[in-house]
Amino acid sequence: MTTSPTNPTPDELTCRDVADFIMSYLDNELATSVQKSFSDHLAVCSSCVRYVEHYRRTIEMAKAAGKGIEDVAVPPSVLRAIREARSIAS
Amino acid sequence: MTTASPSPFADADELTLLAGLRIRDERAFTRFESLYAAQIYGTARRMLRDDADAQDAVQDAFIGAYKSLASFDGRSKLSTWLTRIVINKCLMKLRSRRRSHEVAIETLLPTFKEDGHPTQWTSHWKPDTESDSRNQMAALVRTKIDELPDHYRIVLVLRDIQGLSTEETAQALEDTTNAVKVRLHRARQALRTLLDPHMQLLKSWDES
Ligand SMILES: [Zn+2]
Repeated sequence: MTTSPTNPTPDELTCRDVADFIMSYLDNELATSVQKSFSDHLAVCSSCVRYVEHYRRTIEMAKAAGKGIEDVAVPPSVLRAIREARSIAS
Repeated sequence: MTTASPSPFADADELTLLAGLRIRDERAFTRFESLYAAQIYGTARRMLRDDADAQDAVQDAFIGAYKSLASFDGRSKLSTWLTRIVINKCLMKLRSRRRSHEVAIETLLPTFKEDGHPTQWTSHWKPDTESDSRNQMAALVRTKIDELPDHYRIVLVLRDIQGLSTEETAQALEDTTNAVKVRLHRARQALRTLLDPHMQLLKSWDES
């Protein structure tokens, strides 16, 4: 992961490569040949298929967890302090 | 959160509002505050996970915004500008409360043998339909996100939860887009590792 996440060497990808470039793969940022090598690896490696799936679900769960924090009103004391700060605007 | 279409002042409302603020029109201040206070409070609460700290950050953000109103160049939207300010206030808070027991990200990343094979095959997760109730799951995910090292958690919160673009996140953190991508990727991998024990379909008999 020290190199740019967009260009691993094509042809054969290892499981490590898959783990490293998964974000670029899901974002469709890999070169077409690498995208193909990625898919080729997934076709024969069920462990990486699961990893990609976990990664995707992790993102979904993070998004859902964020939505779970519902918006609450700003307390009046804070709004009052902000109103008082208007005078410093120049 | 608006994902930056960099056409500044697409709407006249923004221009009117900014002009009002510049001439210190009280109605403009009222509108500005009612439009954005709740929004950035949400941002601060998600970043800081503490209401009192989030309230401080919101207050500091408006004060900061009013102080620098004269130097605001209007090249970004007011909401983007204010969001950037509140994110910075949150980052300052986070730095001041840096935890001593933070885990190293490396311990949460997958490991591989020399030939590129994983040292451990990926586990099987429960299918979506079988996972626990959504609220329960969301609560668990939030505690796991909290366990991520700050440096990584911030990027995950800004990108995956606040919905900022890579560019917006890089701007807010004064970092490169590539650095943001690398950190986001590691943060997601680390979060997957933290969720893994809770998501596994089959628990082996000797696991406590
Ligand atoms: Zn593999």
